[in-house]
Amino acid sequence: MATHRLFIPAAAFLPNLGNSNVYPKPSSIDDANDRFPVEILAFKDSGTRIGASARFAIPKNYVGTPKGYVAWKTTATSGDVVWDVDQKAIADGESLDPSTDDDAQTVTTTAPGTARLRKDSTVTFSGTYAPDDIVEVSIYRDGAQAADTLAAEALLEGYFFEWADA
Amino acid sequence: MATLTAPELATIRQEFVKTLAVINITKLAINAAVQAIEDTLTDYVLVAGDAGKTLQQLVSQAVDAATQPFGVTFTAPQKKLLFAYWAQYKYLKDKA
Repeated sequence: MATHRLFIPAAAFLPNLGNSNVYPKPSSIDDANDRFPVEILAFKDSGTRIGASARFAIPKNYVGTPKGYVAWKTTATSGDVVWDVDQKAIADGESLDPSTDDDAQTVTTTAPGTARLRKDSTVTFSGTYAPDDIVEVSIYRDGAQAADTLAAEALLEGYFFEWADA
Repeated sequence: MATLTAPELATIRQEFVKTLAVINITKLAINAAVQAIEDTLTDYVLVAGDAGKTLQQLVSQAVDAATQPFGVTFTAPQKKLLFAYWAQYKYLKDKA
């Protein structure tokens, strides 16, 4: 059995309409060295639940053990972020405008003690996925939760979907 | 005592942290500091032990007391900035 991951960069995510608290920004704005500028997604300290969405396809060799990893950084050196990851797997013939989720997971992660370190927040999925499913994924920062104490933007670099092939 | 709402606190926090070179203060500590400023400027009644103190001193000691449980001490410049953003939001919001 081997474990695989696919990466969806932050630039592939669309912020929820009408919410200016999630927005794309050049990484150069927050980086000090700024040697590899890319577009990242900023989740403000808004005190509300704010999100963005993307799509990916389940690979042919998918068997099970699905997990998600929210890869992010921050300029803060203390505080926690509450991330929610919602997913819906859609097969041929199923609605691409779903009304429910297959998975809704949450994880609270403490910011590293050094600014701009990569931090992966892990969720384990329990829903059913199959090869060639189109997965609609939404990532939220739930600033309405008391556990979300980060007084800075949480900067999304991207999202890993992980699976096992046996 | 006027309790600031979550959106009001979020607005002030967002402006304040932009000024910090290192953000090592949590939302809870900033919220407590802002509420202390609000309480001192709108609800404070002089007590004997505070006789002779300036308003700036009263605000400073209120912020210190409010943030002490979080293990945070705001510097004097930080207190002034936080006061400025509180005042900007309180007195300039909804103004043309």
